[in-house]
Amino acid sequence: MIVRNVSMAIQTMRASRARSVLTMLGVIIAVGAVTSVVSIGNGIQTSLARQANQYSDNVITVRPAHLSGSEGPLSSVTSASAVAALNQKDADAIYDLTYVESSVPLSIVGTSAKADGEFKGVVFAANSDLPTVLSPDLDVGSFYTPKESSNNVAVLGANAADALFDQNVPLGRSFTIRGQQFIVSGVLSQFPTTPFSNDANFNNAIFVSDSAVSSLAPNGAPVYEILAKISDSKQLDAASDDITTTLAKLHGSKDDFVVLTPEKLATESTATFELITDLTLAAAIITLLVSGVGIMNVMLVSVTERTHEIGIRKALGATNRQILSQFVTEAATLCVAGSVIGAAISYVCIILLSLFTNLTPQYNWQVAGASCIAACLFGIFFGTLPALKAARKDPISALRGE
Amino acid sequence: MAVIELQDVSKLYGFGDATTLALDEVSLTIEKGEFVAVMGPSGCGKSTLMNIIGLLDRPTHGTYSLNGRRVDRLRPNQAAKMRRDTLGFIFQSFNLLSRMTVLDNVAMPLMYKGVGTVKRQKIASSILERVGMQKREYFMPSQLSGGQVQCAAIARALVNNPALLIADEPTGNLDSNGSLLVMELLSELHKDGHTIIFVTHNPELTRYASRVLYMHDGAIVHDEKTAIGQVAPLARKHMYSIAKSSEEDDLAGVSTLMKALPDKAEKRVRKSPAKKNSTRKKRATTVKKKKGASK
Repeated sequence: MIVRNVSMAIQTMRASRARSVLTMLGVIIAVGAVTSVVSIGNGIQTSLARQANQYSDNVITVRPAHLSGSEGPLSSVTSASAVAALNQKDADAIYDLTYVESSVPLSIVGTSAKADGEFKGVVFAANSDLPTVLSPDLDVGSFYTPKESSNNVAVLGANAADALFDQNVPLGRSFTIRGQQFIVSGVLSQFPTTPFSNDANFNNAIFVSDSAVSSLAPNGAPVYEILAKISDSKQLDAASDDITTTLAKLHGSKDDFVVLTPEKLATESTATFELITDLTLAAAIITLLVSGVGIMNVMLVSVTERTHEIGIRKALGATNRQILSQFVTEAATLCVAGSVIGAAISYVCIILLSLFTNLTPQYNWQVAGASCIAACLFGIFFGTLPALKAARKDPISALRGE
Repeated sequence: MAVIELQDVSKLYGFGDATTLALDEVSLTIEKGEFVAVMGPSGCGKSTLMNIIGLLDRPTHGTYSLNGRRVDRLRPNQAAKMRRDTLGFIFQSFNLLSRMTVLDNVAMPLMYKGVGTVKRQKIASSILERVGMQKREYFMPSQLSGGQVQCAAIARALVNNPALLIADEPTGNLDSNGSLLVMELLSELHKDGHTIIFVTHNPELTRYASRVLYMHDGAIVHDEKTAIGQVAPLARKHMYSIAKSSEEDDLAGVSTLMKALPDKAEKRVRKSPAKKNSTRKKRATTVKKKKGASK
């Protein structure tokens, strides 16, 4: 019965190709959009989570309270009043705690630098423990060692290196920040996402040794965040509690800073993407709904157009239910075909995206399947009304009508 | 056993003042193996009669037994199943679905019966062979001549082995060659024992029939058995020797008929003397009016 109806539906679709394709277009777009967006979102979330794990298995991030929210754009990084909540003393206090292996305050000491070209971004001063918390890959050169820390040495983010120097390997070249000369000791690889931070971009940053704080900002530099490496990953929660109590004692209150464990950080940085994914999902569902209405419209036209055929079928012994199921199947077939095509198109899109951009979307079969099923349900739902209209036609007047 | 038994079947359309009497207490019995021609002017109720016999419509009054089973009060779905299993329809405009091959068209009634695809096509193919169309079973209807399409339609009507074939002007859209093809086929089917009832405007075609019914204003006004191979004398003499193209022609034909026939009202009274009601009077006055108009 179903097989027969489906083959009949395909026959009808072939007979009016243009109309079928146009009807399916809505479903194709809706399913394609849902699947693609969710897949891209998934890819981003997974890579974020992976980054967070890679960098921050044992790292606790302490931030001034103003910066912890996802609403802060990059500009807030340089807003001194917001950042002033943390300082070098806090970092030292954290370093003294049990389980804390190293403590790296990232102080903001500048926003621009000059060499062959001009660089605009953030200049962080960080001590030589930074590699232990960040475990970054370097394209060339090496990180400054504790010995070198007293000199004016710097490691450049990938974009910063591009902006400052014309040559590919700027090792040993010098550049100036506020009139001070710094020598490049290494260039970082491109970070896919910035670890421990959702509003600073480490690709667009320069890290200088902490000795520069005194020369560049004699009055003390605002600390953007403090990264604390914990020796034992099982003690993360205990350590984070310790840090909170210590800092609360120092600051007099808990209100002006936040302590983030890797888990919390991951949720925080993916929250924005989740929101975007959800919004797009909502939009896609509305598209699906609209395409359902489109299907209903086309089916109504189809029923009117095929009144005579319905009359013939009824005269030959088709019951109301058989006519009903024929037209419902037709609507459902349109939806299934549309959703399969949509899912296939989004699959191709995702392959192309992962080939030609640095996004790594993950094709989400569940979402593809779910949106196909949703499309079928929509098809059946919106196909029922026109099908009922067809089934209830009086055979005599249907036969008479052309 | 009679295939069809209509007892005082009436059909009314509309309400109140707009009520039209399409069939007026028609009683009719058709035995198995009969080949019945129905003649009459346009609007005389032939199609309504065919629709009621074909279970596409329900009579307003009266009883209808098909193969000994009361069918005048069937629900639409029961009627659909009855149509599928016991009736075969042949239409004036063929009514094959243009998107399907001849074979699929012929197999369609079996589909609604739930027969599997392979078996369905086998049966359809053998029926097409029976009507001499097997070589063209994969043609589309548009690739065939009118006569061939009608033969395919007859095959479709036969595919469920129906008790009765109903043909509403089967040759109405055909040229003389097509008509000949179709009527010879129907005649062969009749010889094989099929019961056939067909509507026609062409008196020549009554030569195939074993019985001719004349209808007028919703009633059967004359019913005669004729020898097969001979045109019914009444048909040729009086009624339809020229093609009707206008209402005036129709009316002229009617008045000739009225003169030629024994008094209609009298005959009906003789048939059912006990029943006399207002509708009959109404009809009688309409007939008088029409007579006047034709003069």
